[in-house]
Amino acid sequence: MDPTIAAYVVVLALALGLTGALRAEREHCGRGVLIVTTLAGFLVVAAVSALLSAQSALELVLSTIAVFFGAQSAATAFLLLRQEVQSEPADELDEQEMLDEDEQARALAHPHSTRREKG
Amino acid sequence: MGIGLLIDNAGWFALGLVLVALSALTHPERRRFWIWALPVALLIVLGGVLFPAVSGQMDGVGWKAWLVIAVLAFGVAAAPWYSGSRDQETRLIDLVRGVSIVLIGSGVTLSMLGLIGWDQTTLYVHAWDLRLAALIGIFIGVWSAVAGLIHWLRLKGTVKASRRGSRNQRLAQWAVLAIILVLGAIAVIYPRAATAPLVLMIVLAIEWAALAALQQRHEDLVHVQARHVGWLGLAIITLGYVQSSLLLLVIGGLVVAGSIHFIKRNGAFCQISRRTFYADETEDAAADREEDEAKPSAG
Repeated sequence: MDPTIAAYVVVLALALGLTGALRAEREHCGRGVLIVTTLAGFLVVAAVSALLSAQSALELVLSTIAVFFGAQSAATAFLLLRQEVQSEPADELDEQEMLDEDEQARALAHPHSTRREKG
Repeated sequence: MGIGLLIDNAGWFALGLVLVALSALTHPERRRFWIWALPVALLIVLGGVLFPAVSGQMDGVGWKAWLVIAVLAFGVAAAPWYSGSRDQETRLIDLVRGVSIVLIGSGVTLSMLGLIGWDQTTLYVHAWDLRLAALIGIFIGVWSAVAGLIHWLRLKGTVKASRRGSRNQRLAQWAVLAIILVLGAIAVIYPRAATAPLVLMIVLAIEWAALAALQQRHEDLVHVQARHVGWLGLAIITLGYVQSSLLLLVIGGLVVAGSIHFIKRNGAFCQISRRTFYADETEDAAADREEDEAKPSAG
């Protein structure tokens, strides 16, 4: 694989992750790290591809162990994420949503003052 | 059609599903439904790889595909089952133990994949980038597996945390890390004479990782583990490079990003944030405190 293409793809994915949905308020950072731990379960795909293309008995044994532990860790990570999401308080707003609501309310009450603050 | 291409073809659908799920997961009411999108995405990729193999479109891999399905089923069955409920209290120790299992499993997987990659690339002197990727995989895999194992044993009470080392001990640890790096460089550059350096490197990595994991403070364990998840992401990136799979490159980048967020923002967990959780979680913590209390009276 061309290293330049690989580097571009990685940097783009990193930028997406750093700016996007994985960014949560402090209370919910735990959810973010468990989401990506679940995504790390995609390791099992690499293990499966190694097993399917194994040429010798040694590779077959090693990749079988790899698939077993990969599947176990992927399932464990997802169950931890499920536990985290289930234990979140359902009817409370996120800190970010509260901030958004405050800002909207302030903008409705004093449309000019907020604009001046920003300027 | 190669397996890498099969992964990436199914990967488009999986990646689309993952990205939709990531944005849906920010919404509090849709969250419980959309977390299922992540395992479904994984199943799409696995199905995309396994279906052509099982249905006989690829020669000579039919029985291997059935072996994969059986081993996957065993692996999922071996995972500990955490029941999710809002009323149930989770303790920090449960969470750390769960992530330890994830680290052990991913670490073993990575080391095995690294060894396979090494086995396949030692014959080609010019494939130094593939050997480097295999070596990084082995090192990160061994490090994560040993750290996860030590954390797990610490929580079980089998091993006790050691005191934080003196300055000289820490210097010695850095020296061991430097030796590991030198041995790795030798193995990458001279593949024909690489067996002894490689074995020595793995042994040193086990020792280095175990000593480091024993010295970490009890309340830092979750953050150490989050950092290890980031290292796993780096290893997934190198695997994506080796198997020329763009899907694995993207997933690895996302994993690294999530780990960076957690560490930079000093994250917390909902399942354990509504109680005091650093006191009396394990014998480990209690032993630490007794030592601390004993120290001033002795001195």
